[in-house]
Amino acid sequence: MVSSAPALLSRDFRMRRRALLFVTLALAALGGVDALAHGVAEGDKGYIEQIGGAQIGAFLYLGAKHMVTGYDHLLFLFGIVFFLYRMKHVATYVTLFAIGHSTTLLAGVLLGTNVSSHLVDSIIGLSIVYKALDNMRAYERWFGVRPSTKAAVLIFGFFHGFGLATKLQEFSLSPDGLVVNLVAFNVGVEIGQILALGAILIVMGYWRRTSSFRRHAFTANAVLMTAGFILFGYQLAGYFVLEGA
Amino acid sequence: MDEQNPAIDELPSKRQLNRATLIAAGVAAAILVTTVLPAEYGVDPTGVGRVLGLTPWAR
Repeated sequence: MVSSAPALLSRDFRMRRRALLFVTLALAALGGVDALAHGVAEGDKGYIEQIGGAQIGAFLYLGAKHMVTGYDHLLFLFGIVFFLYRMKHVATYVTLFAIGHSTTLLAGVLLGTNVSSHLVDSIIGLSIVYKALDNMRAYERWFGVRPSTKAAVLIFGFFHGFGLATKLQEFSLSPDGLVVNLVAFNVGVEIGQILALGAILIVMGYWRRTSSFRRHAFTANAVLMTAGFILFGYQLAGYFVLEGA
Repeated sequence: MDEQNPAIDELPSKRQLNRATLIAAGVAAAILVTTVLPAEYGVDPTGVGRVLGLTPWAR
């Protein structure tokens, strides 16, 4: 038994190192797409504005690309699934998020609502801060109650959808085939979300297997909160600097 | 900290939470002022952005 202790230790160490590698790779992948993040990429913009009529494939792709390369949506998703261990719970929360952002994406574009994308994006940054604090169970400590996480995910989903709507509205979308293209974009967003979620869950799965996960969970959510604050400040500054408000 | 509702004394303490939140906000503010704002908007109150070559006029 004595001789097995070092073996156990080293296995734990190897597993931890492997987990670290996965997290690093995931972060590198997120960092690598940085240039594409946020709006729809410049090259795609010209394309979107040229096409008239229904272009289901193109808008499916753009929706999926927007989600997979949009770090704000990914960080929020990461926060949502952080402590969801069962697929049933993952499905419930992700569905709530999808209902939230689809509603405002469709309504926002169809009603032509005009909101500052910087302001909406700063709220999206705050949604990440909120979820990180929720994961750290800060609301229980601070206020004695934990507000409904489901409601929070749905409500912040509305803001994420508004963010998507303002991005699409930055283009002079042809009214010809608008509804079909919009729905295709929305379906694309959901496909992108499932793909991104798959990647996040695989990484989380490995990470959770390590004995250090519980110890690092608090720090990880503090880092997530930092990222949320940075996005918030970045977008709020953009509102004041670029929109001269 | 997970969905299985641990007892309140197993949760992070108020002190830990306050400290983590302050550090998160502080680190975010520092990164914003020294790198993000200079690089994105040419707003460089500390001059660090210029030193790092992040401001448009430093390129």
